[in-house]
Amino acid sequence: MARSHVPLPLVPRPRSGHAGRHQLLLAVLAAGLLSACGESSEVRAITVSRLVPSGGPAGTAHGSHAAHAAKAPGGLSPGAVAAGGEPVAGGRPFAGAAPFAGGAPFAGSAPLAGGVTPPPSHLASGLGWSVPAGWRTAAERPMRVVTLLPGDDPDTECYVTVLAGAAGGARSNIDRWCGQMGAPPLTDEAFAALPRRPMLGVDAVQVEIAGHFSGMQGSSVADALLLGAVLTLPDRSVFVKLVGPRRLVEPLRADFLAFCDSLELAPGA
Amino acid sequence: MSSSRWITAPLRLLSSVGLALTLILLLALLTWLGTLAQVEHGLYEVQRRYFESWFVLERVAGLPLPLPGGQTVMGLLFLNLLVGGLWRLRGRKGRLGILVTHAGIAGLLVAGFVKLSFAQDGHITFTEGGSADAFESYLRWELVVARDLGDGTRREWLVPEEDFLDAMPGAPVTLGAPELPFQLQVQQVMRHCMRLPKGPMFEVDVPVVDGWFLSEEPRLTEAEAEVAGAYLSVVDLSEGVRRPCLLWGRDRAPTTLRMAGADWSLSLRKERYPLPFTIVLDDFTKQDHPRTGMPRSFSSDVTVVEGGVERPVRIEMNQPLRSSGLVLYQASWGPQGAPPGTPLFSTLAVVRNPSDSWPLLCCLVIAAGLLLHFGARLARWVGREAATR
Repeated sequence: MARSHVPLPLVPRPRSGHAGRHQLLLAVLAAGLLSACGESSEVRAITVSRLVPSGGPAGTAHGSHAAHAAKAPGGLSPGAVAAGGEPVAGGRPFAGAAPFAGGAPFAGSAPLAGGVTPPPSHLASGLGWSVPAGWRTAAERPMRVVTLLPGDDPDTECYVTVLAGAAGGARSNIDRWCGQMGAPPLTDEAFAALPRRPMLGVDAVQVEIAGHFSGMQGSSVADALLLGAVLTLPDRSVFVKLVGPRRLVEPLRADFLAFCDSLELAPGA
Repeated sequence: MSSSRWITAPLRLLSSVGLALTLILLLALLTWLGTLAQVEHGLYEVQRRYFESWFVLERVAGLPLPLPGGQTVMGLLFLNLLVGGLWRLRGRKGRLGILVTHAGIAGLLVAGFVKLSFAQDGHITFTEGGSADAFESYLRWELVVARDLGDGTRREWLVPEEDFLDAMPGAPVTLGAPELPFQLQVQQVMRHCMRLPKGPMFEVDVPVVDGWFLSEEPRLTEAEAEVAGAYLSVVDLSEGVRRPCLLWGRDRAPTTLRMAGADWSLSLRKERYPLPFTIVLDDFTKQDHPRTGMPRSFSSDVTVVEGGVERPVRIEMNQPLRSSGLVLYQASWGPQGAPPGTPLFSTLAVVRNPSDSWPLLCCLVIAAGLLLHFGARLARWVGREAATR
């Protein structure tokens, strides 16, 4: 549907004569100049409104969808969440809620071209997160929920992988990471001594491994540092991994932990 | 020049074959330029710039080259067909078929214009068990002010993107409605940005609202992947107090505020179009080619609930659902590469196009016109041959 901006104020048409035409021209020019400069006092009217059910999202998908609240609370309250078609989360007045932040919004696909139209990534994985300041989200990669780039170095990346079930368990996967870093597998004592950190409602095993990183895609980073966290939920395992040159990764410890702490499960997930 | 020539001269020009050829060549040129530009700018931007415009300023070797836009060319082509058909073929017997063919081609152009002006397209993305009563635009944004009325309904005030996208620092846009106790002053809109927390280790040159700011990102070639954001102030009309606000297109919850004894919410979201029915995804099926991960086919078994009546429908590739002026196609699914057992989502592309069936009708008209014309010529030739023998 063709839409148009609110028009310039109407100018009364003069009755006749050259003087009248000149006045009209000047008036139109003046109105155009006034409308183009500075803060306009014109208020654009919001003319479209509609009634929607408030028991769920305004539209689009809802119900048992992982990314959406089953039933949003009726009525609004400061700090609460309106049923606006978005997942229920804590909102703060005027500042918006904790942002969805991140994911790969439709990256690498044209919905009408038959490719994937990925919804927000928490829809895909049941996870939500906040991207640390200065980090940016990279294009979608296979088998990864999200890939984040903390800086400009292409060898430094942080990504989240979710696998069904135990996926071999934390021990075997950490040993696999040790292998990627050229380090020997952990002993029982070393594994038991690894710190645990609450993530997604369970204790995640944290690990730091230094060495020469050899990635599965053939990438290689000398003097690398790997920061990782592995946790096992009832139906899936979540792996968070930050790897790159040691000199670049060491200053990112706090950001990495903040990112891990920001992971949360979408309602219903 | 006699007064009649003032009328006939433009009509001759408008109906000329030379004009038609020029317009077709211009259309080919726009298509070529648009194809080249799409590599860098994406489909949506190219469509908007080259084909949904009246005028294009192209640059060739650094020099500006003004060209008529797609709407201008196709509009003139429509007039050329119309006037050409009516004017040049007037009073000539045996040209009815050509006239009918012209009408069919003109109808195709009209169908395109109607789609451009009045169509709505978007998508529904849901998992099994999910339902939808609206579809969402791929590209268009809207500002939404909402208030729960407490009776199971919510009133939404909707601001289409044309009314706020042009806001910029120093030239804000003020929005208001008689029912609202406040006005929204949109100060800045970013077409693609990230909402980030402001930390102590760096400074930003944009406003920080409650510890968050919008970081503008480079535009994407795939416009549907962009996430818009906006800085605005909520101006209390009774107290004159301005409250800064930040909205982001991927916020998981709207911004809430209390004003004039009522609770309001603000959000920036993709434009939504209500459906005249509710659609429930009962089952999504994906079949892969044997021993590969490549999808062979995928389909959605849905239930359409309309007027209290439920009917099951299967939507699959090349078999869309047509209902109430809408067409729902099985467009895609995801997440790709997910481990077995991961819940899959189905995406249905939805189009509301008043001229959806017009191209088919116009093609039938064209075929009829060609049959009529060549059939008449064949009949005349047969008649002449019979007469000479």
